[in-house]
Amino acid sequence: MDKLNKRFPIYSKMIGLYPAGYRKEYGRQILQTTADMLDNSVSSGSKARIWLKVAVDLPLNIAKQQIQYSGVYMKDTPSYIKTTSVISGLLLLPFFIALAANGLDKAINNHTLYNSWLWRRPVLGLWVLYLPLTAFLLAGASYLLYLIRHRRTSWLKRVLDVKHSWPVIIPAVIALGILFIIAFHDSVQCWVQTPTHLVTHMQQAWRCSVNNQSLPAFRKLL
Amino acid sequence: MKRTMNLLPQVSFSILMALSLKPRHGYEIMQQVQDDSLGKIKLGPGSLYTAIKQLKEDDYIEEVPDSDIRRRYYRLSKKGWDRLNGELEYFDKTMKIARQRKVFEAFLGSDLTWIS
Repeated sequence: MDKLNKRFPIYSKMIGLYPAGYRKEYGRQILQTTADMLDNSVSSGSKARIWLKVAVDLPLNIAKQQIQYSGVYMKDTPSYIKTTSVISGLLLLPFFIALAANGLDKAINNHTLYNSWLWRRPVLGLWVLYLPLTAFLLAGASYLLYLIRHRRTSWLKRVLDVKHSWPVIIPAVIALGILFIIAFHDSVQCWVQTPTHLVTHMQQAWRCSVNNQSLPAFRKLL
Repeated sequence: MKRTMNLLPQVSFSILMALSLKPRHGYEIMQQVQDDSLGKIKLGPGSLYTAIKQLKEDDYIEEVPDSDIRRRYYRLSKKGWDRLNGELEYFDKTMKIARQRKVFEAFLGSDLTWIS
């Protein structure tokens, strides 16, 4: 590998972007084949054409292999994990769509959707609370099921080995984050009809909680 | 038994065809594929080994043991021969049907106005 690495220092670095397993199996051969192509080309024009071809061919195939190798993990992932991850993701979607719509409205019209039907109960409760909560419970239950079913290794190993469980861990964490933001958000705590002012209002939220205004606010939302 | 057969991608088929003559290493496969396709298929090294990897995973080709240290040689496996035969049989039948229907003559003699 040394000679080829020395001959093609940049190219061999680019081949390093392939997934490790693929690189180990085919990295040297890719370099060798390229060397053969260049050695058998006669003119500098044909050499340039070869490099042009490599420049187009290599990134496409690196991307293809990276996708395939990440897909290998998904191949062994239980189907209930895949299904619940998709459902949880879909349940979280309205939250982000509503925020994006509000952001766009602000950017384009210098206006907000706070007075629209999206920000009124029961629609507000649905995308801000019920859907993220359902997503969290669903993804969490799926993750727990995975931990219980795969008892071959210790609990700690199973928790740390996220190779198969990441599709449900990610939506669960996002859903929990949304619920956390909402729970500590000033608007929910004190109910001023603007529940997505993010955690920049933490101090105010804390004050509301200290003043014991959080429970009535949640009751309003529910 | 599987009743339907998904045809191989053109590059994979061409590689199997190239290896039907003798075991070859990467660059030789590339050249043979280019020759067989009359220059229409020009593989880059990345595409070549992506296809080789897939063919190896499907057990259609295998590495020749103790081949050159610098260049690995590949050959068709038993399954690969069967697959190549299956593909060629399909093409052969398709050609027969095309001849029966005189597709080529119709195509060459037509002014193709019906296409548009």
